[in-house]
Amino acid sequence: MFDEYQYDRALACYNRGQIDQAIDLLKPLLAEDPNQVHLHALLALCLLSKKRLYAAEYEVQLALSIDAQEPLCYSILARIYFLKNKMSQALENCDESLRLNPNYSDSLLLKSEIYSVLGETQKSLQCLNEAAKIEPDSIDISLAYGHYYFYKGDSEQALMYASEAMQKDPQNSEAAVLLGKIKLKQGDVDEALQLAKFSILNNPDSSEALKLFCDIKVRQNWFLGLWWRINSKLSSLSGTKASIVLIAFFLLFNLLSQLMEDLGYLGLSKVFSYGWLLLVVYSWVGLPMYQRKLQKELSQFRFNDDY
Amino acid sequence: MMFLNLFKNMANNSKDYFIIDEPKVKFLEKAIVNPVIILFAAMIVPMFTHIPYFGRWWLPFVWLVFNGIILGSPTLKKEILYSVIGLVTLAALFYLVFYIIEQNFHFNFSVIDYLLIIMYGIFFLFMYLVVFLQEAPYQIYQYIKEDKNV
Repeated sequence: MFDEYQYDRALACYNRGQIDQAIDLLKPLLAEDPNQVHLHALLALCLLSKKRLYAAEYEVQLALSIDAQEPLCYSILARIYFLKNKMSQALENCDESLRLNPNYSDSLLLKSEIYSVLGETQKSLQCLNEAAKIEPDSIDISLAYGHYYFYKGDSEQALMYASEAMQKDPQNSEAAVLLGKIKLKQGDVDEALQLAKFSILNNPDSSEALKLFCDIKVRQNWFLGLWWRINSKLSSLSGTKASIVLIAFFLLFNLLSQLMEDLGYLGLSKVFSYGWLLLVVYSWVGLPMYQRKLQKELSQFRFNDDY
Repeated sequence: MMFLNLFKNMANNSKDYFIIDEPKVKFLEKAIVNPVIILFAAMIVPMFTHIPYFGRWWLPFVWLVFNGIILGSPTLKKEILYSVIGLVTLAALFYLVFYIIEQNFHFNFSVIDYLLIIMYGIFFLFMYLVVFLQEAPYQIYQYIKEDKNV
């Protein structure tokens, strides 16, 4: 039997985000008793947090070789495959986890994420609904709904779920970031700024909070503000819709320019041509400038492991 | 007894559990690029250089598909489908342009110019469709790649 006190300490460290400490606690436990499924599973989760996918997969496989009926292991394995971009294998493992425990809402949430990446939004929502039936009070599910509606462009619904998540846990950094993103999209910059600061204070290493902070700065910037707004609008559309909007703009400018030339209005034709060129250059310059600002923000705040 | 416990503890401390290392980055993995870069290259490169065999039209699609393969994109089939539809449509329009030139039709306005604009429109439409599809898997790949504090 392994030292449960040490295991609980490792689990607490993992939950607090102190991954290195959790690994340091787990290693001697595993050295002493390598046949404990939960130790391997927790170590796999720690390694996953450190983005060490191969080591995490190895640990889960070890855990499964000890007990092939543990739904948590299949759920972790599904997450690993998801991060390896192997969606069909990820779905298979989610299903296996749900077969072993039909009330395992984490697997349903992951399935929803997978379908979302594959562009199957209806299936994604269906999984969320199933998860909500199992755990109606879970903050993770409120957040998942919030993200789902936010990326679908439905700010009202997203706001409702993000507020619900904040009510459930007012200290939750992820909920604050999501609420901040929605507020920023709705034009409430002050509120978004407050939420971003609150999230950074709560979790100084949260890249999402820092990204929100950068977005606020970019939105207020005189040069990049317009670029951010256009980009934000396009991001809320699906890939197909965004492509059609962009091409519609391209055709509109160029066909009008050509038409003006054919009709003999050369001056107007040039206005359209230069207008289009200006728009293209602005969009080209905007992206690297935004990414540079974001990197600067992240590197300024990113703390080292000793923090 | 005390010495025995001390010895036991020492023995336990000397035992360590080893976590396997991550494999080295594969050669092909280094060739993965952000699909938006391919889109930009498709816009910019033809401005400065001529790509033979109508490369400006088909090369970006080939590059995107190759990128999707090495990325392990889960939407690869859709990406290939869009690329093929885009290329076939472009080929049909090319045929139409050459047909009009060969037949020497006379119009009051420059049909070829309009057709070229539509061709660019179709080219970029399918490029955008593939790029948007590949963007999500690329973001996941990027998330794993960045700040790997191993």
